[in-house]
Amino acid sequence: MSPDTITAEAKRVWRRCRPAMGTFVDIAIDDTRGALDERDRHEAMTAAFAAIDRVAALMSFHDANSDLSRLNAAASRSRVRVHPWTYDVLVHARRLFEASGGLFDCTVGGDLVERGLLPRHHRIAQASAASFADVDLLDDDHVVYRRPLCLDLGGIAKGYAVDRAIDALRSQGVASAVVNAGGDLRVLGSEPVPIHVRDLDGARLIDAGTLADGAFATSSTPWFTADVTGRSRSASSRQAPGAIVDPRARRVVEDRQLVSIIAPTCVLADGLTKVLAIEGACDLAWFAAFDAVPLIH
Amino acid sequence: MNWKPALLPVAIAAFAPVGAHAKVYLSVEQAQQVMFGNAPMSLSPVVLTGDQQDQLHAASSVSLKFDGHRVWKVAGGGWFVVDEVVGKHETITYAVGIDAAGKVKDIEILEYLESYGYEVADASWRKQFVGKGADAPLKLGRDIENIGGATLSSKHITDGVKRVLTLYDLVLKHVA
Repeated sequence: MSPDTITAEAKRVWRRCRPAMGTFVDIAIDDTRGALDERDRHEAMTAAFAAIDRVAALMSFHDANSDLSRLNAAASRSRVRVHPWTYDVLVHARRLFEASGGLFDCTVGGDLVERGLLPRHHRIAQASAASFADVDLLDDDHVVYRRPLCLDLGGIAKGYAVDRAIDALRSQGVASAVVNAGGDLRVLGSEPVPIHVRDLDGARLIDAGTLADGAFATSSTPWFTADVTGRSRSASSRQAPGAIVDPRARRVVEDRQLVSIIAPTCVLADGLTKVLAIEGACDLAWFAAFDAVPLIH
Repeated sequence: MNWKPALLPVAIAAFAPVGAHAKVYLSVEQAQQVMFGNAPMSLSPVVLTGDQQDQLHAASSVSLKFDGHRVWKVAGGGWFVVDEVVGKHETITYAVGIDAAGKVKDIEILEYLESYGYEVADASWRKQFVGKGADAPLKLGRDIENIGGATLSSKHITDGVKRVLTLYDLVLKHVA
């Protein structure tokens, strides 16, 4: 019997893991207090994975038929109505853009397409000075771009998916759970759980304390460097999803620095890691305004 | 939100040797139940020719030979296949459910085996433990549950599913 089995029996933890959003989504429901029967647990798991899949389908940059791709294709010409969840993520993106003085900017999608790190679905000719300030969030979930640009919701969509999965579990009566989408994770319940961080090479683990009722996201700046012409010097383009573009210089951030954020929600935690990774330094008070704690490993 | 930093490392070897950590999600029987409910299924091992193994490799770029002993035929149509993929630091056992029309119905990870070293975050703590590794072996497997950090790519699984679908095309759909 493996140690996991022993732990699972003593603590009554049920786990499932499925591939989604290009990574592994691991959901653990802790029902030590025994409030759920087998059918409840099954329904809770199903609802949580369905929420993840829903966010992935809406906000995938890679899927030409996603809500996001539809928006990118048309919003520079006319108003586009998006799903309330997509709109919700855009509201978070605007808050982060404004609070960070433009350091957090989802319009770097165009730069990633130019560099061959994201697929090209449309004939996007992003205006060189475009920023998230050119994205207008109108009433009734409508969005319009003031000039041609290309949004990539990348990590914050993943963080948002984790949040929706936690909501789904809670509404199914689950009191204690962890949802971990390949490193973006959120803990439901007041029971502290240990958190570890996998380092940049994926070869070591770092003890990062314990967390209850909150989210933890880590941003590792990429494992490759890209010069201004956009030609990656990396051996493997598979690592590209980790790319962070500094919107000020429109350059891929090259430092190998591992940073994490602890925040109330995973969408915020993920978004704030980008700011910390680009800035490379901490202003504790700035992060405290989001009720967040920055960590540089 | 309640976060506590790792102030008092317990039983930590500062530079522990690389260890292995297995996470078990579902047994084969549990995964069958999750995907197909109580539909009866029968173990239907397949033996592949060298040619067929080559075709699976070509279609999926998975070089590990396919083990045909973990294939089940579902009553009323459909298949349940268990396979394994190996990455740089991990070995993943997963199950693919294929519906009667030959489409992927579900993918579940059964077991995820990961290898890594271990270190304490702060160098000043680390010093206290240098040389004490042998006395305080880290208990892997019990306490390491929630791992953040560098995102793991699920590309290997995508490749693995491609080869299971190729197996279906080459062999399974021709089984009466």
